[in-house]
Amino acid sequence: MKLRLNLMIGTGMVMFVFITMHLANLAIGLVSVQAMEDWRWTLSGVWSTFLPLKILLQVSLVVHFLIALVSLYMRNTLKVPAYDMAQMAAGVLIIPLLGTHVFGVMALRELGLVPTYPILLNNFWVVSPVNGLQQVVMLVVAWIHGAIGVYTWLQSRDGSVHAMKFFYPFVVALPILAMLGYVEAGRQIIPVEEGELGFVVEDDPNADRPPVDPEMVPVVVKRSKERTKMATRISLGLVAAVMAARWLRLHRRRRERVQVTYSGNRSVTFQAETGLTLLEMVRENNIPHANICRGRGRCGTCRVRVLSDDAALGPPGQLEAKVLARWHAGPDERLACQLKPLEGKLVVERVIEADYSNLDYTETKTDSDLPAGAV
Amino acid sequence: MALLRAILLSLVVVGTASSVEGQILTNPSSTEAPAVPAPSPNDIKEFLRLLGDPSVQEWIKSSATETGQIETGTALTLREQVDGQLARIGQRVQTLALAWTIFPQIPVFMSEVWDAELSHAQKVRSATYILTFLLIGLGLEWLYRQFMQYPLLRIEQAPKNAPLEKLIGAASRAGIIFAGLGVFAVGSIGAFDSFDWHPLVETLVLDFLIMVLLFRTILTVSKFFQAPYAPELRLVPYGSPVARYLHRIVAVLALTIVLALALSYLLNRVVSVRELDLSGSLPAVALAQTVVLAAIVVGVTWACIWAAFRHVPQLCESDLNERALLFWRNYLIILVGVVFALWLFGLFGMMWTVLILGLVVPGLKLMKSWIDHFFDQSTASLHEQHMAEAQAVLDEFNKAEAEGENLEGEPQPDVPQFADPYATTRPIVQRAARFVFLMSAVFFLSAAWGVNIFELSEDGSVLGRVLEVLVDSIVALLLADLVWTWAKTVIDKRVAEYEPPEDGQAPGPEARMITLLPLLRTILMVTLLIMVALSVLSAAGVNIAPILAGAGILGIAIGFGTQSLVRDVVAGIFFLIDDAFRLGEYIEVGDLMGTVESISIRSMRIRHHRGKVHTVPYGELKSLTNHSRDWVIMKLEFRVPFDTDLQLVKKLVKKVGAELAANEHYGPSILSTLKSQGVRRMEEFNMVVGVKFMTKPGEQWLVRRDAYQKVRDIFEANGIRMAERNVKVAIEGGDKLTEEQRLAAAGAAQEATQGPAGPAKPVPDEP
Repeated sequence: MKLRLNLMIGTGMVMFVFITMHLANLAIGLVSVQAMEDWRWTLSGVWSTFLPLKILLQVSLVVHFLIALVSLYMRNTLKVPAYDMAQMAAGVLIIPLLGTHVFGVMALRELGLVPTYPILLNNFWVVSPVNGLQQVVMLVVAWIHGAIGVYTWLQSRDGSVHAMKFFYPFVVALPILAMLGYVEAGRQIIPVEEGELGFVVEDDPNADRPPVDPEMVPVVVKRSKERTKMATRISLGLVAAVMAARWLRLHRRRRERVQVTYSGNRSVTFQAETGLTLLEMVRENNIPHANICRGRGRCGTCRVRVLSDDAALGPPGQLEAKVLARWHAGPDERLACQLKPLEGKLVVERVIEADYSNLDYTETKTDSDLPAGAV
Repeated sequence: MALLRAILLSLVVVGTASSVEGQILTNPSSTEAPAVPAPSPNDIKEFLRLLGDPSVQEWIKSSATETGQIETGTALTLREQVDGQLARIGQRVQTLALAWTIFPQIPVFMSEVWDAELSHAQKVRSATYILTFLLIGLGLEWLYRQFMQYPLLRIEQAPKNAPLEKLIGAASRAGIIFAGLGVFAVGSIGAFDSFDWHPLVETLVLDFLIMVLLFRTILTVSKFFQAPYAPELRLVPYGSPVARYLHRIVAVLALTIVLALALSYLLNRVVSVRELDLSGSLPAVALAQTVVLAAIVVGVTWACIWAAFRHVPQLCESDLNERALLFWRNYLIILVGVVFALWLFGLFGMMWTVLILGLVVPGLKLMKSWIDHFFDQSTASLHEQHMAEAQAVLDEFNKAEAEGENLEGEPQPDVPQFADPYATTRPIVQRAARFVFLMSAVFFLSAAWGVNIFELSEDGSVLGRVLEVLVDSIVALLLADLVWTWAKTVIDKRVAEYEPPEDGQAPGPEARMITLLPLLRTILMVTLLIMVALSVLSAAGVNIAPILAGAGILGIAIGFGTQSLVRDVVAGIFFLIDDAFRLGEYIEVGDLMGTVESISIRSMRIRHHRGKVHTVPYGELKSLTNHSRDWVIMKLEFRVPFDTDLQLVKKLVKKVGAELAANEHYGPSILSTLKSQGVRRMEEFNMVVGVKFMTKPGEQWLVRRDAYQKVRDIFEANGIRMAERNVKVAIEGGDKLTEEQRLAAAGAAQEATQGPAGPAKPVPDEP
């Protein structure tokens, strides 16, 4: 469990760094296409030509995707908060959208060309604008996926308030600048006869290379398209298979009814199926509940006090116990995101109100004697 | 058939009544007049020749004298208007027919225009631009939302009970969301605007961004009322499932309408770019597109109405009246259909009229139940709170009783009655909301007809007059109704809250208002009625000055005749306002004394303690003495011999005072119990010891009786005798008198002292 989480975060971070650099490269387009090209190797090319980084990136992608499939399989319900839903949907879309770009660049290399920005931008804005649109969508989707991941990870760490001050503007500014850079670079690339500025490249690295064999072009393009198709099929097929397996798992699960009562100011009682965590039940019934890390068992804001339970609840797991200890929680307190109610009746009350805006999150946590960032 | 024609004609007449025809849905086809070619030189020559012809001149003269009168009358004008309207409808129908015939070619035609105007690359690029600028806007808004995260969370989740709290919460949330929309607009449109674009691309992108903004605004308004995910802020009377469902329905509707609008703008813009190539068929093409889009909107609207009426009752889980539901569903569906049909025939004024009038009744009903719900909810929550507090008090009492801490005979604890604090606010809010609703309906209606509601008096037309009278009368009626409802609820509530005093208790200050309020209510009603009637008459053009003058003269005549009556009534009102007396008080007016038994407009009735009833008109009252206010001091005197021990007297009086204060009947009424004031004065043969006490009005007689009795008894028990008149006869050398001589001398002295004194006067009357 813990290894999976850490691997997920680690591989995700590698890709987040990559995409950050790549977007920074695009943002330079606001200056000029020439500047983009000048920074190309430093910001983007290093990931595809420097072998350790190249391997790291590719392994990260595969591992991240596979772990995500496992997580998807483990999900008890698909009724998840908007952020998680967006992250999941974006994650599924990334590989199909990314394929054209990645395999296109690879095809260029096969033809013996350096994938310079003038070539790519010309391709995306003039030759095949649909492809360009696809890449803009991809940029947004990938950034949303990554940003949500980093956001969630940051939010449940010590000193998050401080980190967020930098993270919020960064997470919005970078893709915006990248897209504006892309649009501006496109305006420079689109020829004058189409109503734009037009652009002539200086010291093109491809100028010295031998000319491309015209017979090779259709073959390479066809191969690249086939690869794209295959990658799309494999990734979507895997997702579909995992969804089917998950459905089977949930279908065979024993279903019992549990009646949960939240006592307190706005007391509420609802019926739910066992097998879900308390937090998931609460979400299904649209009951407000504080949960900063959205059910990852990190933040401890979803704690509830168990007032009475029919079936004896199991002891807290390792993760849960750690978080509870960090908050100096009482013996009857549990994390709603980890607690799986059993058949019967359960009465709980919130430790932290749904309106947690007054909660001093940092102070309580730094108070602990555990090392910073312990998860 | 004849009936149909009559209906059609009347429709047309109504349609033409305002020839300006507020064309809200401006459509190129409806304003285009058929092109008339200019007369050729030959035609002009022919016209001049005809004018010169004597027979033609004669005919023109004769027809002028015959029909001159009629031509200037309204009949022909109306006829002309009818003709014009019919012609417009005919033209519209023709355009529609043309649109219908060319409709199959439109997709091909459009794609041609589309391709000729924008290359494939440009189209896709436009999509890229739209996406880019949408994302810039959304990104900035997200940043703003992160910044507002905690205030928003607090507003959404903090428990709210009072309706005002909810309203403020919902409004501030809507404010935050709208500010976010503003950030979105500035971010997307601002960033877009800072680049130079191809003109067509620019208008397209801008149209889309504006439509996105419109859509989100509609959603925010829906959120403001329904709050699908924040039950604490919900202003409407249904649960979360219904709110979420209806919110979705609103979203679907809004999306359809906004998309249809955007597409119709876009298509018409593309068509108008190519105007020159199209010449004649341009209006038809534009109309065909618009009709198709409008038909889609109508279809979706019907589907939404149908779906909402089908699912909402299920989600509500309450037994709603099925027939009423069915009625309203069909009503709305038909309304939408009729509005669409009117729009199709180009009767825009009629369309808006039908739409507004059709929505007034359901709108009013919805608003009424909405406001009712609003107050019901808050009253219920207050009641709950009150019950909880009362229960706490009771619990505490029971606990104390169980532990035996309560004194014997302690009454049940005081639990105040629950009073709805919104009882008076509710009807006023209802009326005010109705007033605003109706006025805005009238305003929109007049806007639809192109009539400026504020300049009606300058408009000479009959319709303008009628509208003006109607508007003025409605305003007067609604305002009077508002004032009347407010006054009535306030007065009725106070009257209902009044509790008549129990027997033997002095009535409180409310008694006076109970006397006055019904009188005030009647006066207010009469005044309002007269004012409304007069303003309606005045709005209708009736000169009300003579009526006012007549009423004035009548008023003077009646005033003279009933001078004393008026004086009584007015004086009475002022006595009541002064709070000079209340029901049940013992008062003294001139020579008359008694308890106030009844208060009427003109006079009051007081009952003497021996049963006589006096009726006193207020006009006769100069001054009035009230014996029943706050407290009464009573002073008593005892005569004791000079050799009495005054310290002992003081001690004994104090003891009696304590006894009196402890009395279970009148003890609580004694404000300051009996105490000795020492020797008040010395008289010839004795000292006068004064005592006094203070009680509530009306209790003093009983206390005085007991005080006399107890003091006498205790003096006797302690050997203090009351002074009696005695005569000392000093006789020179009296030592030697015999017993007979002494008795005779005493008798003579007694006779000498008492003879002229005579019997004592009776004490003044007291109840």
